[in-house]
Amino acid sequence: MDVGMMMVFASYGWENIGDDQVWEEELRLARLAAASGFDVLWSAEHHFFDYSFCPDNLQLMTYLAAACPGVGLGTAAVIVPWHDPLRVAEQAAVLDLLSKGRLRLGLGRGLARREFAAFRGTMDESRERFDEAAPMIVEALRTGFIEGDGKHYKQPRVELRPRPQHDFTGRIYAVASSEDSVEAAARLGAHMVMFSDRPWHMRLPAIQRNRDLFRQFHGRAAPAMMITDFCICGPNLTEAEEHARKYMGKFVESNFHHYEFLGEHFATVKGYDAYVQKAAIARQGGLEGAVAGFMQAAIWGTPDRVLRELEARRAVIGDFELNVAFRFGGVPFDIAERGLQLFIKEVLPVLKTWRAEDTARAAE
Amino acid sequence: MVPLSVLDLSPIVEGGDAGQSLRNSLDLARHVEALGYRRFWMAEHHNLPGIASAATAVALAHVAAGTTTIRIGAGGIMLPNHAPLLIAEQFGTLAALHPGRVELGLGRAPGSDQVTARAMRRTLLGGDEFPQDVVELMAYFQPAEPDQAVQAVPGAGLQVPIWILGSSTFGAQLAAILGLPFAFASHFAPAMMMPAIAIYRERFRPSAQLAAPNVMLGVTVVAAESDEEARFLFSSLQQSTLNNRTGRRGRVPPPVADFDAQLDPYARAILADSQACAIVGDAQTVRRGLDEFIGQTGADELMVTANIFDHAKRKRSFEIVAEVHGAMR
Repeated sequence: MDVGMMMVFASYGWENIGDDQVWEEELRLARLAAASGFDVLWSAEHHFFDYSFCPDNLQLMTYLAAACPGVGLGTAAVIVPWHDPLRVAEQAAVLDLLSKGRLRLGLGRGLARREFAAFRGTMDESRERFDEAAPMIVEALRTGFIEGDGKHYKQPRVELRPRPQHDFTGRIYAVASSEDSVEAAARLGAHMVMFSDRPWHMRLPAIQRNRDLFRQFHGRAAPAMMITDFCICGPNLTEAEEHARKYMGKFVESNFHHYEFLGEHFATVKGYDAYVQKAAIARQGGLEGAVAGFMQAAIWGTPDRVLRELEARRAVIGDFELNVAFRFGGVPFDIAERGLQLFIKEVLPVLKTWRAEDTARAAE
Repeated sequence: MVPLSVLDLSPIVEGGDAGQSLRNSLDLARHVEALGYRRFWMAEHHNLPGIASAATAVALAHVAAGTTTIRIGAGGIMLPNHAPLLIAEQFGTLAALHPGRVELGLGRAPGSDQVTARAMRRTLLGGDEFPQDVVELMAYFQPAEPDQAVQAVPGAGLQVPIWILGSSTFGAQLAAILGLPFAFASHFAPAMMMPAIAIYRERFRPSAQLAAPNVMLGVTVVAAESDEEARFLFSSLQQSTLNNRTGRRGRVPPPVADFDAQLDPYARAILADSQACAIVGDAQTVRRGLDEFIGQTGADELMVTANIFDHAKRKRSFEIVAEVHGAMR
């Protein structure tokens, strides 16, 4: 199995922590993961708030390309509507050149109203902008030329310099937290990326739809989806559960706060209809229900329990790539680091033995 | 607005020569690149005194080397004339030199007659292997397998985009089944255009190269400052068409005034049949013609061709079409 580590860059849930310390902690975890057999490091793009603040993950990954030789470098994701597609393609080409083909380019369209507001109000257009710009970027990395003649991006055909040096086939990812993003990911020919925030049997219809649409659009099987997961791994089950409840709870709370799931605005913003239901469920079930759902989906416990949870998930949804965050929701650094170390020692070696062909048997 | 591309037949005009034609082709390619046309394709024809692009890959290399961004392609290579490996190598060479710009349209016709076919060591009985040959050729552009005995070098892994060309419904079916883009020769075989488009769209199966049907139509557009001048310029192509159909092959003749009035019913019928889709006129007429043609066909892209005797007039024609296209947005 392909296993990555996710960097969140959050301070929501921590007391008295400076931005510099948040970054220092994430980078220490990243170095440890890269040196210990993880396939790839991933980072989100978020701006302005405690929720998460890595405003330019391509820039971060260019640093990590030099700091961590050999490891894959992933963006999960570049939020396309907040960028000029030409610049994303150029930055990706440069990073991929410097890292000798280690980039995995994940693209997303953004969800938080307050981030969009600071980008001068493009949330209504985010679907259109993503659908227009994402294929421009992918095509540019494939051919070396970018061009566009859509509503939002009139891009004269121009050659990228430096030219993309490595084939990007299989290295494009697209976040799909909403129903129509499931289709967009399939259309783009990308690995679909989902967050482990709801029980997996609930996600199966969307996953299947992605696979069907992918086959319909491209005439071949979809590549393995990627799951961004949140992990509390400890030697003692009771303690791990206690930590999970506390820190995953805080993380869910930060999600509610950041995305305003208790608000009504998803009903009025174009292209976010899929979140209306989610917001309604959030209002109905409240934070407590959401935390319970999150804990059902995410992985926590002893290494053994973590492995069994992942096995059960694979039996439900089939093969996936895994991207694990250890630092979220106020997890103190020593607990995050200990969790990562235990994961490296006990979980990772087992996951590395999982092969796609075993899945059929696992599903039986 | 649908994108526009160019099909250049590298016409050898009376009083000219092949060298001049090929130099004109490059000049035209630079011109249309600056005007924003998407592709510049050249075609394989043999034993025709009026067409200089018989060695298509060689001619394309000349054009590609003198341009920077426009896509360069064959429209097309007549695959029954060749071994797929050789075409993979030729277009692999072009793609290695000009990455991201080279594409390859494939046709099933020989682009010649029986005598010429024999001279190429081919029989006109070929063509049945066309689908297999297309698949074989596509495989050469994929990354080579570790134990692959025969590789295209250069070519393997370069994934040159393949188009299927058609002047009948056969190509439409093949393009649909293989999930490839389809270019139809409405500029000389308009009769089967609508059935071919319908079959292609109906039977299309998505592939790694293409998710949804993509139809490009070849169309003759001769544009000039006035309708009258455009019809005058068009008469060169009319004469060439008649000459070719009646076995009098030659170079592209100069235009003649009032050509339509001199036509006998037989000639009129030939032209009505083969040039039914031609759009000839000033900017306004061309705009109306393009609107109607796109409306009728739902084309995703047009490939404009214009065999005009005078090179400057030919360039001007493409310029007018680009202006009209810009205004249609």
